[in-house]
Order: sequence, then C-alpha cells, then structure tokens
Amino acid sequence: MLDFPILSITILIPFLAAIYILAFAPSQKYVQVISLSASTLTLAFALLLLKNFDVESYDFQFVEQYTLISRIGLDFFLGIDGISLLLINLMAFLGLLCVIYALSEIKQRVAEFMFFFFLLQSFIIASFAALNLLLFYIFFEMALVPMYMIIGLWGGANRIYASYKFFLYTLAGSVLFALCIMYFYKNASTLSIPELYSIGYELDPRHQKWLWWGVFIAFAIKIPMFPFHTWLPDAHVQAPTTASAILAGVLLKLGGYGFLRILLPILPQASKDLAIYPLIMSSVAIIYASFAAISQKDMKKTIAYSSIAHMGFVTGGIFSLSYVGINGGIFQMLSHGLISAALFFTVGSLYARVHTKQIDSYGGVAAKMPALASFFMIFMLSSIGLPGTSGFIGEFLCLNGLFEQHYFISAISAFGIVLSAVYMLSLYKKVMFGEISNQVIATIADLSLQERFIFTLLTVAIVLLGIFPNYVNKLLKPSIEIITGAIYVI
Amino acid sequence: MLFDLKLSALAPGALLLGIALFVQILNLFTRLASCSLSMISILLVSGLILFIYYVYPCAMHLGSGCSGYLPHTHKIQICLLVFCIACNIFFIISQQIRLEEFPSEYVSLMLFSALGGFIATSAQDFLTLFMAIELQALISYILSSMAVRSSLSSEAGLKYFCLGVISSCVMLFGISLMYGFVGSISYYRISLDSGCSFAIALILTGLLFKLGASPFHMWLPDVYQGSPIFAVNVFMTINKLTVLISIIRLRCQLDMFFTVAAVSSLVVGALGALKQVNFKRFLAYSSIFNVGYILICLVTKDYKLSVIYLLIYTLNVFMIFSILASLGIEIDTLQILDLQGLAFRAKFQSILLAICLLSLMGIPPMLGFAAKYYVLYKTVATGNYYLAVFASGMTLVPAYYYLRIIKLMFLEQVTASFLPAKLLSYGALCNVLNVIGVLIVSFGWVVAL
Repeated sequence: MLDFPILSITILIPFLAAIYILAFAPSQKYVQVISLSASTLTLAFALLLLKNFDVESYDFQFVEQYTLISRIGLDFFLGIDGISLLLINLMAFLGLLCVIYALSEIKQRVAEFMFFFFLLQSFIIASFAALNLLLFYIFFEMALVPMYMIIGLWGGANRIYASYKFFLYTLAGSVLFALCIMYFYKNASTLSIPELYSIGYELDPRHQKWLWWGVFIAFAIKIPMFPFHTWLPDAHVQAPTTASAILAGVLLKLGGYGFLRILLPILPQASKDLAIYPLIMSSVAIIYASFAAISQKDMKKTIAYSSIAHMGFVTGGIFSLSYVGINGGIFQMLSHGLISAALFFTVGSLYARVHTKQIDSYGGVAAKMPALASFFMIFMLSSIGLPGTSGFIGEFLCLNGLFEQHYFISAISAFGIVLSAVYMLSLYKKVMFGEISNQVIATIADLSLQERFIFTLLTVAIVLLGIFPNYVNKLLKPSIEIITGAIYVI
Repeated sequence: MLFDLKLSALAPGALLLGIALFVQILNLFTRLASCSLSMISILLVSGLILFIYYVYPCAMHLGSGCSGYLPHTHKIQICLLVFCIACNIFFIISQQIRLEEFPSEYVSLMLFSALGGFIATSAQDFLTLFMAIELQALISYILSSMAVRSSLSSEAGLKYFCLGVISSCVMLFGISLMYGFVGSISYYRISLDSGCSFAIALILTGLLFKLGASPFHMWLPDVYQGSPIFAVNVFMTINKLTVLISIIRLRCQLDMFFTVAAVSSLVVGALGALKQVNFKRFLAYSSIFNVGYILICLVTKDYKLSVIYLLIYTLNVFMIFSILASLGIEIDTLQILDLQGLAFRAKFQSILLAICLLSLMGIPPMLGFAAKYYVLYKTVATGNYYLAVFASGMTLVPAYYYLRIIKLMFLEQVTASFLPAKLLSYGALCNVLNVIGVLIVSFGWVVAL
C-alpha cells in the first residue's frame, strides 16, 4: 500500500496546472507542453491507483480523512472503491484525449480553455473521490462554473442560451440535494458516506420518501433522465467538441455515480419502494430519445439524443436493484463514456473540415476519408451494441438485470436497441456513403496524426472492454455486493 | 440620585463623538481635502479600535454610564468594534473613489452615524433606541442628498426623508402604545399580550423599514439609485447593522411576522432585480433579497448567525465597490450593460469581480455559499422545512442575474461603453487590498465559523 496521499495528488495536479496557466500566462508552445504533461501525469497517477487497488477488499481504499468544519459536518474525506476508481480512470483517460484534441481544435485563447478544462478535471476527480456528502456536493457544484464558461466562450451560435440552461437546471437539482444533506446531518450527525451506509435506514420513514425524491431529482437532472433531459441537446450542440466529449463522457456519469454511491445504499427502503418510477422513466427515455434521434437533422443532436437513450439503459440497470443490473449499469457508464466521446470526436473532425453539422450537407465522405470511415464504423457499431464491443456487454447486462425483476420494462427497453440501430446506421449511411454532393467535401483531407492517435486509443479501449469485460467486473464485485447487500437486508 | 454618572463607561461613545467633532472642525477651518480627512479619521478610528479592544474592558464592569444604557458586555464590545472596523474599511475604500465634487462633510457624518450605532447597541430602553435610530436616519437623509449637482440625489433624499419620517412616527406610536400597556419603556418590561404584540409589531415595522425588508422596502431602489456611492455604502453597512442589532436586542417572539417579511423579501428581491438596468438599483434589490435571508435567521432564533450573514454580505458588496472603484468606474451612473466586455479591458479585476459575484450567488467554495449554507442548515435543523425549500428555490433567481453580469463581462464584446478611455490603475495598494479581500471571500470560511 502506498503511504502518500495519492488521491489528493491526483486531484491537485490538474488544479495546479490550471492555476499555473492562468497566473503565468505562458506562450502558446509552452501551454501545449504544460497541458500535455499535466494530463499525462494525471493519467499516470490514475493508472497507479488502478495498479495498487486491492480487488478483494470491501473497504474504501487510499483513504484520507481530516475534519474541516464540524459545525456542519464537513470533513476532507477522500477514498475510492471499484466504481470511483474506474470513473476516475475514465476521466483521466478522456482528459488526455481531450487535451490532445483541443490543442489542435481550439484556435483562440487556448490558455484560458486549458485553465477551465483542468479546473473541471480536478473538480470532477474530486467529486468521484469524495466520501463526505458535503464535500461531494461542493465539488459537484464547483464543476458547473468551468463548464458554463467553456460552453459560453467557445461554443456555437446559441451558446449563451445553452450555457444558462445547463447551469440553472443543474443548480436547481443541486439545491434540492443540499437540503437533503442538511437533513442528513441534523438527524444522523454524520455526513461521512461509509457511516451513513450503516445508519441511513434508521431515519424517519415518513421523511425517507421526501429525501429520496430530493436526492433522486438532483441526479436525475444530471444523467439526464426523461422529463429532465431538455438541457442536454442544447448543451451538446452548442458546446465545442472537446467540451461535448467530456460532458457526455464524464459529467453525465456523475449522476449515475450519485445514484450508486448515495441514493441506493443510504436510502434502501425508499429505493425499493419507489424504484418503479425511475424504471418507467428509463424505458420512456430509451424509446423517446431513440425516436427523437431518428428524426434529427443535426449530427450532434442525434448523438446527444443517443446519449440520453444509452443513459436510459444505465438507470434501468441501476434501478433493477439486481447484481447483474447494477453491474451492467456501471459497465454501460464506462462504455458509453468511451463511445460517446469517440462519436463526438468523429463529428468534431467532420465539422472542422466541412464547417456544418447538418446531415443534408454530407454524403460520400467515406471516399475521401477512409480512415475516419473505418473508425466511425467501429464506434457506430459499438453504440448499437455489436457483440465484441463494450456497448454490447453494457446493454446486455442491463437488460439481463432488468429482465429478472420487470420483464415488461426489459422488453420495451430491448426494443431501444433496434431503434439505436435505425438512427445510427442511417446516420452513417447519409454521412459516409452515397455521392459527394457538397463541393467542400471534395477537398477535405483525411485524419491528422493526433486524430488517428485518439481514435486508435479509443478503439482499443472499446474492443478490449468488449472482449475482456471481467477485468472491470472483478473490480466492481465488492462495491456492488455492498449496494445489493444494503438493499436486500432491509 | 436621579442618575449615576460613571463616565468611564461612556468612554467609547464619548471618544467617537470627540473624533467626529474634531474631524468636522478640521473640515470647517482648514482646506484639507476629503481624502486627507478620511486618512486622519482612519488613524483616529484605529486608535479607538485599539482602545476599545485593550483598554476599555477594565472599565466595562463599572456599570452603565446612565440609565438608558446597558452595562457593556463582551458581545457589545464586539459590536462596537465591528462598527469601527466597518467605518475604517469604508474610509480605505473611499480613497480610491474620486470624490472631489462631493462635500467633504461625509467623513464626519459617517462617524456620527457610527455613533448612532454605538448608542443603539448599548440601549436598554426604547427612547434611547429611538434617539439612536433617528440620529442615523437624519444623517442618512443628508448623505443621500449630498451630490449637489444631481437632481436624482435630491429626489432620493426627499423620498427617503418623507418615508423615513412616517416610519419613525409609526415606531414612536408603537413605543407609546407599549408604554401605555406596560407602564415602562425599558426593554425588560416587554410583554407579548395582545395589545403589546400589536405595539411590538408597530415598532418592528419601523425598524424593518430602515432595514429595507419587504413589505416596507418601497423606498430602497429609488434611494439607492439616487444617492451617491458613499451614502449607499453607509446605508448598506452601518444602518443595517444598527437595526439588526436593535431587533436582536428586542428578543421578541413574533415568528409569523418575521416569516412573512422574510418570504416577501425573498420574492421581491429575487424577482425585482430581473429587469433592472441601473447597477445601484440592482444592488438595492439584491440587498432586499439578502435581508430576506437575515430575517430567516431571525425566525430560527440564531442571532449570531444573522449578524455574521450580514457581515459576509457587506464584505461581498464592499469588495464589489472596491474593485469597481479601483478601475476608475463611476458607480453612481453605472448601467449594468456598461460592464460589457470588461474582461477584455481589465482581465485581472474582472476575475476578482467574477469571484465576488459567484460568492453572492452562493457557489462553493466562496464565503457567500458558506453563509447561505449555514442559514439554510439552521432552518432545516429547527424544522422549518417549507421555509428552507422556499428560500433555496428563490436563490436560483439571483443566480440567473449574477450569471448574466459574469456573462456580460466575459462572453460579450466591448461595445461603445461608458468606461473611461484609459482605465486608471492607482498602483499597487488598491489591487493588493482587492486581492486580499477576494481571497477572504474565496477561502475565508475554512476558518471554522
């Protein structure tokens, strides 16, 4: 076991890089060097966490705990288990890829972009590692500001509206969550998540229902689940490619992580009673978002709606409250993170060359960009859930878990796979195949070296996860057993 | 004997009176400019602070100076210190504001206003309180009309005067009713029988008017918009602090009264600021909103927290004024849209200003978030769940318009704006103060409150 505060260091590296870039305003070249080294170093530390993780242990690992303000229960309490470990690695990995992509995509004010991006990375890793509810909430909220600035400064034409919507919608949910945290501290006298696991079910049963809804809505807005999803298409379409990739890849997973870490174990009785509502919302999300994706004319909006549909699988798996389902939910979170980041990078590459996101302006790109066409094919098939890719494992496990408890909802959700094939295949056909009708396409170049590097890494990750999923499942076993144990003991 | 003169217990108030008179005489008979006068005041008030902190405690046990005064305790000593420190901070900030056109009497007037605060803090009967509040009110009327070349300022002063006099009459009526029911004007004889609670409600009406709480807030936007900036500073800090301490001293249990006032303040403050274009008017509505939070503290009976919240809010607003002043921006006629594109012209100060705005919004890890979190936590802890949900819901509306200012500064291009062509940078001192202030705003709450 390592005895230096590795989690704090992993959080601090991007933060210090951000402050350094802001304070010393280095030149363009130097910013590239700093950003690349900072994100590589973060990835190195995340892999170090992975290597030193003990797969048999049921406790939280790499724990650091210091009391900060005892009057409201704030402690600096960090620690990870299998779920947070994988999500931190996902963030570090996607962070590196996004930095590489952003250095070639963002032309103006690169230093400020890197500043906001590293702040975002630092706060999100801290959210995943936080084991004190108030600390988690603080980092959760702090992550909103850099995202708002990124969408607002480097986004598309309607970016102000999209950034406001994202910020205020998420803030509304967080405020409900804050009230629940205050209730927890008043009644349970502790905000530390491991302790709350053992005393959460003793809270007043009349209030548990309201607490459950409060916490649920906060994370349902983040994921986003069906009635609260309207901020996502706007935010994704208007954000720059790198921001969309990190938004879809990691920020959405904060919601799922919140369900797994906070909602299910601390309020198990209410979760069991009220699980039917998220399940209905999930299946509606899958079907509705898939149909919405079929009818879109904007490439990025199609993929945004497909994100909503895939996260519908995640919530379906989580709220099936079965071991297989929760396993599938977490796996789908990881796989969707990789796949949607890959799809957004693809769309970004196309946009950078043709300067439009309307599907009608495309056609026949495969003839000019065979490398992109191949990568896009792999990502598109994994989004559909082709066996051999991680998308299949995720969706299959979720549906399996759902089928044990609610076969009707599972049947409806399974239909979503067919629909995802419809919109993905038609998107691919319209963009890649056919004749070249747009003259701009006749002049475009194939992928650059950075893009090839990013796409190759993503492909390798997706295929590896698809063929050897048990590397991941092994890490998750203790955590899922704790969650299902909490639920089925009651 | 009719009264007991233990003069040494009166020392802080007497010293402050002496300082104020001395500054005023200097102003009359010498040609010192107002910045030199405020420098002298800073020195003298710092001396007073040291006196109150180190020397005065040995005289505190001697009892009160006269019958209307309470013997000074530790808490009262802290309140006196806070008034002096607020004066000092304001004088330091006013060094950066170009105030050549304004009469330099504002320095001594501010000291007199702080004296009113001293009296109100140590009052133990209603007439002393009334005297203190009226002293501050009269000074406020003068301060708000002091910008002699602006007709808006005269209008503000006149409005404030007319409405303030009416509210003082209401308060006096309440005091006389209380005297009629109970037979004494001392605080210790306050009761809450049916007639007396009506009397207390009238007194609180007068006090809440001065605080700027809804539904007695009508004067606030107009007066803040018209008054010059130093007057607005005095209103926001010294007046509010005095009234808050007086309300706390009354210790009455009118929960429903405070709840209704809190709820309507939150609504008015949140919704009223949405359409504002003038910066000071916008700040007026945001102060109504934050007074709503203070009233929520009073509902939960955590009085120390209400003072702390007010101080944190005051610090935030001070920092905003200070940063804008250090840019040389004329705050009196500032429209919000004039801040457009500020980040392109003055990046460093825009970042500081954005941090202060985020703090007002209630975003972690700033001090404003800590203040709001403590207040809401206390509300949940005492069981007022509906009030807590309502307050946190209404907090989203100000989030929108503070975010709008940040958006204007950073995300919009510079238009033909009102800023001076060359933004003055007065040198290192203002920026150092700004940075220190903003750091306190950012991380100060880690020092456990």
